[in-house]
Amino acid sequence: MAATPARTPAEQALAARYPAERTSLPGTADVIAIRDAAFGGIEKTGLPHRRVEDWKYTDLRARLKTFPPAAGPADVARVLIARPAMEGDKARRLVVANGRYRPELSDLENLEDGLAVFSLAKALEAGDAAVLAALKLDEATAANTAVALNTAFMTDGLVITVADGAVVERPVEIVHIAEGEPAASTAVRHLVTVGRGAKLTLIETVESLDTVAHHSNIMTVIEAGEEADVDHIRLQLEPDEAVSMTTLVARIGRQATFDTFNAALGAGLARAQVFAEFVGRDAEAGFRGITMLSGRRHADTTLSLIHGAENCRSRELYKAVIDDEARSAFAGRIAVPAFAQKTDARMMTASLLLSEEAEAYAKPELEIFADDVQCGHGATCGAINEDLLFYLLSRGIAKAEAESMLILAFLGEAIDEIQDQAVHDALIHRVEAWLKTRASARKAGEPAA
Amino acid sequence: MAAVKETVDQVLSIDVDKYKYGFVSDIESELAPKGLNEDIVRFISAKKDEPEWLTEWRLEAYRRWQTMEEPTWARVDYPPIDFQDLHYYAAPKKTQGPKSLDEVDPALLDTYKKLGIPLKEQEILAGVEQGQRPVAVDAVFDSVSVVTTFKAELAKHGVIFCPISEAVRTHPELVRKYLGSVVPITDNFYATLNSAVFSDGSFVYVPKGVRCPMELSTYFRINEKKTGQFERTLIIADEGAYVSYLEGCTAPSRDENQLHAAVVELIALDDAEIKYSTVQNWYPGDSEGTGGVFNFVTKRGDCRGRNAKISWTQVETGSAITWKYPSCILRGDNSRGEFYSIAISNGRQQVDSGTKMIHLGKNTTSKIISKGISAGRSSNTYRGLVSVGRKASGARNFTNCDSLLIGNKCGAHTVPYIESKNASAIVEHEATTSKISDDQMFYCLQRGLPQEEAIALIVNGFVKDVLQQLPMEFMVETQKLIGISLEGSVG
Repeated sequence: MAATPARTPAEQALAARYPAERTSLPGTADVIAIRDAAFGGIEKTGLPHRRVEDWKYTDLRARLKTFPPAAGPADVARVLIARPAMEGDKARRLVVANGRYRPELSDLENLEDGLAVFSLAKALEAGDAAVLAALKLDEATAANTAVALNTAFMTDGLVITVADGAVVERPVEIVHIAEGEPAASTAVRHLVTVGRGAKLTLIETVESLDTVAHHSNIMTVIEAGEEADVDHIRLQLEPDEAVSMTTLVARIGRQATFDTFNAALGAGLARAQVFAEFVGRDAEAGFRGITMLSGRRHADTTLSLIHGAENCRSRELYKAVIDDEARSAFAGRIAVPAFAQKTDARMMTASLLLSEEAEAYAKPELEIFADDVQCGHGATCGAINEDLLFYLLSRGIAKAEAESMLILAFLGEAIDEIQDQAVHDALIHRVEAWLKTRASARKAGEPAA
Repeated sequence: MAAVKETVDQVLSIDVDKYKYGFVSDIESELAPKGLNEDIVRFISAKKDEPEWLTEWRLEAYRRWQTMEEPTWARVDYPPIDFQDLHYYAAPKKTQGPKSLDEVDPALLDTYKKLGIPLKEQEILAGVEQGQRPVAVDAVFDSVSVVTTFKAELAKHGVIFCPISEAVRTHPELVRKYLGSVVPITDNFYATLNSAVFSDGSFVYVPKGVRCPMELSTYFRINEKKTGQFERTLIIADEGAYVSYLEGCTAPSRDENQLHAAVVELIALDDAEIKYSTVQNWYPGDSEGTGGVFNFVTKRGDCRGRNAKISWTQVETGSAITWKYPSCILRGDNSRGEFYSIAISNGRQQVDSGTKMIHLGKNTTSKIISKGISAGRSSNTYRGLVSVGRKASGARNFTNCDSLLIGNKCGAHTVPYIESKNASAIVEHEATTSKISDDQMFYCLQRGLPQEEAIALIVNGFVKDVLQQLPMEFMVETQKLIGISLEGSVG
């Protein structure tokens, strides 16, 4: 391709890595063929840049400096000391360390009736037909760069199934831990199937124990069956050096209830993608998230929702708090085909800029072909309201604390939608820690009274 | 659902097949040979007795254009345009410089009569009738301005309102200073093409502190078979000046697509205000989507001075393809940009329109109100950008775009981009898409309104924010021109 500019170091690293690794990655010949197709797509176009509409605000070609080698086995001793988001035994912990499922570190005792957990790597090696079928994605999703990288390099993940009618009350928490130096990359795929009338709360925690530029690429595919009730929460907590890409693919069945929440609290470069589709009528879904940014971090939330069935209702709410020289981008797209009458969708995104250098980008998009619908979207961007701040200051509350209160209230609108109280509290705990760090930094910066 | 049926019928009653202005007037015209090359560019320039610098400017644009690619990001779908299969210059038969309307080719006047522009009447009415302000009309028939009225009246106030080809000769310093300063020749594919081959258009200069005594109005009309029309409009409001400019368009029925790529540049200096209103009703093609005008327009205003204000109002009902984003660059502190739009699409029309508000100065404000009504098999997209620069402290934007869908074979899309780099700026965006709500209908019916009136009330309410922005005179013409009045035909 004469028109393609010279390859960036990250692209060169990718081109060198894949041919060397493709046969040693888990999977039968069928899996290798799927990997080849995915990598072929990336090879052809290179990494996306700002001229590629889906990556307009997150120029991967410019931002991805390197593409580190695959992660080796993790040090078990260090993995054990990592703190989960959920304290004690409130959730069932499943550990994925350096891209590999570690059953020996996971809590697999007394699995609820109907809940099954096994390794994706093993299923790929065995050529499990159902798992292979679940790797198939629609063309647009499969071509997405983060997805294609995941398909090409995925090493392991969890295959979780909840049988029809099974109600799993205790949340399941997948803890992703990247550990070790130098920087390495991981690609993990989870396949979650929640049967008819079944219930599951799934928490994903993404962490890195070292302040090096680990790359993590986690993709979760959730199939919510008819009348299923699925709650998905992701806490992304990596250090500023990390690069984090997460993708959620959700197919929501008839009369199902589906909620997903993404808390982007870490990584220097973070991209959280959601590709969701209503495949059965009368379903309800909530897509929410918060982004908290400081330093020179960059976070991108991309949502694509296809309202592909009649009489479905969805609510989208994404909030971002941006400090220092950080940048936040939100791109949300709701598509309503002509047959999806009685669709009710409302998308809202709000950004709070806390410093002069902070930047916010939003692109809330509607694409509608049905006439009997109620669709709306809103977007706002601004600073902390001076009147509210003044009110608190006049009550004798220090500025840094007053700001923290207002920020928490701003984010609360989204956080309070989380149904599971334990998960809600765990997240609030993280948010408060973030705010405390900010407040003490502010105080230190202020002249002594 | 009956409510929707009624509305469907109403919109169908303005069926594209019954396009009222689909006639062709037979006037001898002078055509440049088909195709585009440097010689054609020179030919156009020579035809207009242009100075050397302008010829060079056109050639530079042409050379640039050759290196550019046609944009494909808009949500419009049309067969590829063969840019070498078009005439780039067409002039109506030369008359001996008409001194008055009587000397103008009667066929031409007849055309205007069919369009409902009472040119003569308006000249007589100039400043006479109480309560109705006069309107100056610079009529463009194909590419050359044939008649300009009210010149004397305007000259008294020092307002320059003439074809741009004349301005190049009479006011070269102004044209040279401002032409291409808002839309540079490198701007985009269609604007660059326009810069190379622009035929004619209007030039307005309102001097310092002058409030233009009347609404300025230009009717564009594409007439000659297979000619692209490339207007170039340049409006400058000097310090403290005010001008309101009206543009309205209809085109005759044709089998072949007609290309239209205009460029409009507005410049508002300190404390100046420009109000630019458009009604666009070019031939939209027949019900199968054949024929129809391709409208690729670049319109941009530059609030160059402090406290400047630029306001765009548009009613888009015609054209097979509309690709149009009137924008405001809010450079001066405290400057203001406004965009009011009604876009109605029917048949197989495709509209991709919106605005850009670029906030650069302190305390700049902007307001965007867009109403899209989509029917038939059409596609109606709002695409807009609100950008707040690092230095635009205290900037404020409010955006509202609503879409109404009639039938389930059409599409309504909203693609807003919001970019803020200043914490003290407040940007708000809201958009809704719906049909006429059952609740609203029920409320009206329950109050005893007949169904038809209820729909009229609701649809009327839907676009009212924008209709109110149109100047009074234009409101009347709008109704004549577009053959559908949301105010009248529905009610």
